[in-house]
Amino acid sequence: MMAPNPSVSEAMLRAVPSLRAFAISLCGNVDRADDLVQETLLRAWANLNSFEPGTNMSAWLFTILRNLFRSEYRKRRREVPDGEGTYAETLKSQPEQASRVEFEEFRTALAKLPSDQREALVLVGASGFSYEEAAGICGCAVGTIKSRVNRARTRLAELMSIESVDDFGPDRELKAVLSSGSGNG
Amino acid sequence: MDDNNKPGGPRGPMAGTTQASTVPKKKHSLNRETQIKLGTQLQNMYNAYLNEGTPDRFRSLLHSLEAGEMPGISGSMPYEGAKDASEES
Repeated sequence: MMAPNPSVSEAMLRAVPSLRAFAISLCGNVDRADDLVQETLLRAWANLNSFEPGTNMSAWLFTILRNLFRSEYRKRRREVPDGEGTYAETLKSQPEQASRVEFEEFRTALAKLPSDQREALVLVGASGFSYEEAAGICGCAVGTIKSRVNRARTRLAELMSIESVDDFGPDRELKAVLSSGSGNG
Repeated sequence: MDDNNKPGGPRGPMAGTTQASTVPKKKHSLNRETQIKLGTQLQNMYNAYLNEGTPDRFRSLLHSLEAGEMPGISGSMPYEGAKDASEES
């Protein structure tokens, strides 16, 4: 194989933070996510001839990572998902206490979504891909992605017991106590 | 046994329909504000991951690849060779 242009490895390196963010969002475990990213880079490097120059390298890498995750997910399906940990404690930049609770609550709810909904939501809602690009990455129709994103949002709200925007934020437990207290006279 | 005393309850206008169809489905449509707030939380979480940056292992890996080396994988997913990168495995 001819040595790839250095700009290819630079482009791959630039994609690593977002690949990692996607991988952590999918599997909820940093070590597994890093293995997934590493395997993605190796696969991509070994198959550079299948990458069409001028097309979106980031989307190509996300596709490889997503397929690897699905493949690994099928093998590990019987394992307990690692969505309950306190991941925020391992972050370099610690969120404030209140946002940390919110962060963990959101992360736990996200981990409970079916993986097809989770990946659609993260690709469109966080990674910045269009519905069309996300459909290309997931190998499905645009309408399927839209439907998965909608179902993911609805399910997230259910999991987090959110019915209106007032239910967000650190005051929700205090509000719950106050509202139950007011019912008792 | 009278129909009204059967475990399924009285037979009325809904007779013949399944129980599932008689239970109104909970329609949970999110308003715009809630969607935006959920989106913000998702983005905050994702940005926290993004801010972790690029661990050195990936720089080293890409340098090795550029130098023509194909390092072995020490993680849980051994490299399986040059398959079609975009295959749905």
